[in-house]
Amino acid sequence: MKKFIKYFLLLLPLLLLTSCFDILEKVNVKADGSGEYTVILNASKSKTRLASISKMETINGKKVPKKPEIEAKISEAARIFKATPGLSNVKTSMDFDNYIIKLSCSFKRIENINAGLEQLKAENIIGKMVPTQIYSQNTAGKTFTRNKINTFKSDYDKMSKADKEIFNDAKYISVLQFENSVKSQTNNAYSLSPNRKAVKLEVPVLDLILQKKPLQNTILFQ
Amino acid sequence: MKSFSHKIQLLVFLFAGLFSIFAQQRMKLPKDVLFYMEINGKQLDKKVNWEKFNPFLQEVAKKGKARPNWTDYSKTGIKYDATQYHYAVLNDSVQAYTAHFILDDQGKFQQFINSVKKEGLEITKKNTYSYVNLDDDVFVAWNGNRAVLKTISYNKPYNWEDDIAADSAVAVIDSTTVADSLYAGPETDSAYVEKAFDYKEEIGYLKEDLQSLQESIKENNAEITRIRKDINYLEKHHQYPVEKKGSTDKNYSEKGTEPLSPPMPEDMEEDDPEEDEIYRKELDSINIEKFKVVKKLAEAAFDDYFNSGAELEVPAGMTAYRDGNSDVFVYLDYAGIMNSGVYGSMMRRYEFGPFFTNFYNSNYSYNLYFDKDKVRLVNNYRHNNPEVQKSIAAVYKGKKNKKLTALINDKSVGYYSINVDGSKYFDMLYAFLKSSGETGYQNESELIMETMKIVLDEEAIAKIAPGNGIFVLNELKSKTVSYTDFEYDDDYNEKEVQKTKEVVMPDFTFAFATENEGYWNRIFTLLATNKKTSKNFSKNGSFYIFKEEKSQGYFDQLFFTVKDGIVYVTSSPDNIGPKNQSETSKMWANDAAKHPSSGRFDMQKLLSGLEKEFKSVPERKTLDLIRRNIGEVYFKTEAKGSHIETEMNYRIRNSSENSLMYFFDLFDEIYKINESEKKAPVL
Repeated sequence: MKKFIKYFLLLLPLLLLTSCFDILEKVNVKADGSGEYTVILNASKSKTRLASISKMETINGKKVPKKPEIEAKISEAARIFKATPGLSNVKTSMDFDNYIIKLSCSFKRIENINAGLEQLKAENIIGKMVPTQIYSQNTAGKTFTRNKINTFKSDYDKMSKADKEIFNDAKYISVLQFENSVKSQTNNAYSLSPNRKAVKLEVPVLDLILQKKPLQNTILFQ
Repeated sequence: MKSFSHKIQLLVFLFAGLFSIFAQQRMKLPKDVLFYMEINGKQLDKKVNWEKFNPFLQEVAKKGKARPNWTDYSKTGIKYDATQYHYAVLNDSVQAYTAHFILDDQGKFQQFINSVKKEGLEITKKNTYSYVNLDDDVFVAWNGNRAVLKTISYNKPYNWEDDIAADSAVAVIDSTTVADSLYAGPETDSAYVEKAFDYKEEIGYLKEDLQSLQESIKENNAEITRIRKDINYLEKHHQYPVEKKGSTDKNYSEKGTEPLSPPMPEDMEEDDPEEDEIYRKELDSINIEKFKVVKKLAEAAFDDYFNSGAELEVPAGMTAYRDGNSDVFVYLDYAGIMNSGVYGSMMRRYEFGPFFTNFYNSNYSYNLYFDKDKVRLVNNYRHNNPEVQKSIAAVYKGKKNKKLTALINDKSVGYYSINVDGSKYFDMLYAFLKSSGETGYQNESELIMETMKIVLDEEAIAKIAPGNGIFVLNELKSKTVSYTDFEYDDDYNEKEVQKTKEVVMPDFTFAFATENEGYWNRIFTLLATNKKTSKNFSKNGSFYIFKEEKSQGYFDQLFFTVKDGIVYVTSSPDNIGPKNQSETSKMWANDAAKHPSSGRFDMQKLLSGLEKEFKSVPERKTLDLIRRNIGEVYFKTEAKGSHIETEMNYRIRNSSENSLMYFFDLFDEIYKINESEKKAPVL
């Protein structure tokens, strides 16, 4: 009986702990190939749950990171970006009331972002499976490419049921803004803005993990 | 007269002889049985609705075939209204599950077996029975009036000593030898005595490892090939191929974009078909050897069973708490389960192992009743050491506290109440430590016990919290919280916007008795006055309030107070004090006061409160189904003589004919929902 109660009480928080979050990745590219890069993790929708989780030591058998640990990790990411050639004006902001974390920087060439991400991976700031070679640009050929990413399916399959639930309502938003007008694109899942100077893709993170929606897109400018 | 008395004597001897023969013929339950179950067929058979069961069983059994193997499972030749005996044996090498059935139609039973056995498998006829294997590890045997089903798994036992002294040539005696002697089979198999090292088996394990590594290399190679294709294409065209409309596939058909094969690792050789064949044969040979062992074990068990009477001789200790009126009776040897297998072997390796072994040295008996309107489960727990059991029972004899049970009310979602004797916790702990036997730390543990007795003023500690407590979940309230989201303008510039959503907030009361109010008041006063804690902890009238400056969690504030010998922690001050009680809730309150542990949860109310947490269509569909059908759980525990008894009632809430069919109806509906989701067209 005690066990029944124990399992029931364990089940209850699990029901309550299915979170949702959004990842916004935004690139603003000027005509000369330079621009600005912003990544925002917005978990504000789950802030009630996260506030409760943050008081716990572990969840689903994993250590819950404390505020100073998260701050240290973001500062380290900023330091690495600052040290990456071609990246400047690196800014971070952490709103722990609303659980929103931002990182932004300016780049000379979009490939500098790939190099920065590669460095983050090398320093274990981001996971080994996170793609780094995500953008490429050919100014002469007037193209900008969002590269294909590998599937995370096998890693996802290895996760526990409770861990998988974290991704159930998570969203990924990619915004690509340009100084030049877009002539065409290869992936029509990206919506084109009325002024033809931006494209946006909004997909469930689970669709990316399971490769139900392709991310790759090659944009040709006028 | 002499001749008459001689005849009487002869008759007496004959009867006595027959009696002793029958007594000898009752089959003894194997010694290492850890799980024993009796199914009261006479009662349970009346509760089964075969009209509902048959389509379900047919669907499950057909496994993709167009037609089910068997149409009417109520007629399989098994006498369903007879008692069935099930038991499981678990040791370091053998895991076996056995079920004994009485037959009422041997011909029908044989037809049924023919429908489920693999094609081509021959039935083996022995002197007193016939048998066939349904699978590599499943055997069934029968004669004119009874049958036995046996699932056996055999694995070479893992020798932990190997880890310490790998070069030791000590031969390990496998527990199968014990099983063999129990089954009293005439033959002894050399496989029962383990060899020091079986190189063939080792090769088998290594080949398995190699195969899995090769598979992983194949997967990686496929990915490398794909990436190389991408690189080649990009080097030539400086962009990815243009996708066709409605397709995400790339066009790699142009010349010069042929992918390069990934280089093979230098030490990696091509698969050798001859070697593969040898490997396959070796694996087959290992499996054949395993099959021979399990077959021999099954035959020995069948011989034993069919040379004995149908009745099983079960040790009295196992059936001490069996109720003849229950539908199912289960006995679990918890000590045996924890001492067997890998866990048991590990515990034996460590010096502190006996502490844990002693902790688990207990058994459980369960009587299960499928009543018309509820499922009733009565569980009896008993520690195998009478002294420890006595000390556990002493903890379960707490005082009544009506002030706490007055918090129970009809409207609440549920409650959990305890009335234990806190002062006896220490005695229980001492009893556990004392009875842990001779360990390497016997002297140390005795010293720790003595020190604890001197240092801890048990009586004073027990006064702080004597052992009466209650948790009442009054309601699941809705709370509006704001959050930040991003919206996008026509140029896809993001803009932060404030939105609101509803979250579930539990409204609860946790209260416990104290005989030292001053102690708790001092703690709360300290929290309210301390420079560091007073930021979040304040006093307002008789309540101490915990409130975070920027409260983001489920509770805006928590209230603490001490009143009339009770310490309260609650989400609302209105929850303090006695509640209006109907006759039903008065009964709950009385039960809660009388029992060391009791509780009730209205699962329907709980799920209604959590409704906002379920958002997706499948989640809501399942929630609706469960909410319509889910019942109410009510349980109580008490110490009775030499055991602790817990009765749990689950009251059903749908129109099923009885609580057994309730579960079937519920599973059937969930199965149908899952099937309909599988068949739903992809838009």
